[in-house]
Amino acid sequence: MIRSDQTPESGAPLDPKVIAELDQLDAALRGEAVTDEALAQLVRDVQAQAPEMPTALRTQLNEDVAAGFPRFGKAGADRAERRPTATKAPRVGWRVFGGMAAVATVCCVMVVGLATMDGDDSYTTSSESLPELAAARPSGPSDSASPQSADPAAPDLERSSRDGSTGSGSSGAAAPSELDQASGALDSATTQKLKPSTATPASGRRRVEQSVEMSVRVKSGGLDEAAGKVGDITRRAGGFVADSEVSMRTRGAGSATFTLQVASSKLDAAIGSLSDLGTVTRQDQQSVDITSSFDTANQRLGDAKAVRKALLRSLDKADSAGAIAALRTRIADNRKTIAGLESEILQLDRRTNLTTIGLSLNAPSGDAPSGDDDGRWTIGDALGDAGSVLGTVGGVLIVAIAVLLPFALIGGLGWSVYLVRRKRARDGALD
Amino acid sequence: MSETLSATMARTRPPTLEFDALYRTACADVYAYVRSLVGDAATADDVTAQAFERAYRKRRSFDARRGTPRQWLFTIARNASLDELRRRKRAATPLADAGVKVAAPAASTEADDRADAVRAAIASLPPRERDLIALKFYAGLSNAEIGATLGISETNAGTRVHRALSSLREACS
Repeated sequence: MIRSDQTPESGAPLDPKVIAELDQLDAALRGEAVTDEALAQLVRDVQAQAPEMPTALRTQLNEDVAAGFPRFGKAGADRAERRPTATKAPRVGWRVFGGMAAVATVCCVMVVGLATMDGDDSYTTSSESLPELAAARPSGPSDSASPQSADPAAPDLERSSRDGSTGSGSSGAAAPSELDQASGALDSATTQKLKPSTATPASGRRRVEQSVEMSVRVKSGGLDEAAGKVGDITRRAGGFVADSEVSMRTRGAGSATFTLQVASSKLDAAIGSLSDLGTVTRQDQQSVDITSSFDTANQRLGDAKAVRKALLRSLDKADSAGAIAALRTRIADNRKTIAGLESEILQLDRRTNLTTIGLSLNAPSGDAPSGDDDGRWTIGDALGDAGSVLGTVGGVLIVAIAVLLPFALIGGLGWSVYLVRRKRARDGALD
Repeated sequence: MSETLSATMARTRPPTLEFDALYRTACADVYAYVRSLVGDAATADDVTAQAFERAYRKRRSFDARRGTPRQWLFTIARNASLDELRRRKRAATPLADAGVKVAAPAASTEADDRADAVRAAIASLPPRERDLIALKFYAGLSNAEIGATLGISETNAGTRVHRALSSLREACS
């Protein structure tokens, strides 16, 4: 890139005569005697033409050098003041940048490491009853075991069943005694109708909603086969796969997540079959007692049906058009209430009959230990995890370099171009 | 730390620049060189001071493996001079116009005539050759140092110096 202007002989060795003359010149410049007296005289004459440094400038420079250039004119003073920090600032900046880069690297390694490890191999089972869950988490109306909160119309119905009236109607068609009897009669009828899904408090049957979270480590390369078995196991358990996601990586590694719905009655069998897919590294089972919600809904349904029966009787006895119209309106409202309660009971029934299983399958890479171990975190596991983390970090670094390299090349090229242009511009100042 | 290791580290550590000593030995030569490039005295004063200020500021970046302190200092001075020339958009004032010499006596002597001839000969040189003459005669740099200053090889520098010297001798004859 350096311009070899006017020097066609730049690559060739110098002529011995030229070398001799240059040696003579150097000797004359050093004040030594030379054979070429004309050259010696020329040297003396040219050196005699050397501009002499003004005394004022020398004095000022002496002071500046002694004081570390605090002056250097007005602008120079400012520059001199800024200079120490200006020269140190980049170093401090690099230190800060280096520290931040180190912290970021450590954080990345930790995050990647935690993400790489397949759980903590702990096997936990928890069972929570409704009161604890109600206090610990926000839940739906049916989970809250609040009889009144499930249906806005419920207070009205409860009140109407006690008062023998469903509203403020003035017909007074239904007497309290009639409503009580109707309620008793309809209660048994409702129980018969919803027999498969109901368990009244009298029966003493518990209604429990269950959910299970499982993590299973399968052998390297066995993820595909295990994922296929999950569907079979779910079907055998009277359920279905609600959601699934399978991700395959290199060297037999991969992961899969499933959301399964299985019959609660076959939950134990399903868990057993899923556990056989590999090594269970985590299992979390939760049970929520919704018996009170179920009983309350049934009770309210019975009351509503009793009210309906009483209203129908009152309708038979009504003789005025206004009373008939009012009763029909209340009967229509009552019908909606009954339909809502029946739907709620069916929903609760479904929640107890089906159990949700959140299943996670993980297959390590071929280099890592297989899942057929005793579940303890060993030195081998640690080495495997460390290797995996290092591999991931190396990959991240390679990607980062691949991304940054073009910018670095462009920056370096730009800097080189800038330097060459500056040199040429300076050389051009002599033209 | 063992003595061997300390000695090894001392050998590998670049020598620090003795700025005060460099300044004392080179300040007059730097001024002469700068003035030969920029021409007028006021500008030469500023550029010389600026060159030493730059050198002082960059003294920690001096690398002895890349050249001598004197060559490093004259490179800075040359860059400062050329930057000034670029800023002022003007060519270097002929060396002979420096005007620092005392007035010639009324009666012309042979020495005065020779001095005038040399001054005129230098003034007649192209700026690049004047630059080389100044680097050689005022800065006292070797061909290798001139090559490093100009960013060319030692051989190339020798060739250019010889050519400038020949031009000067021819102009003086």
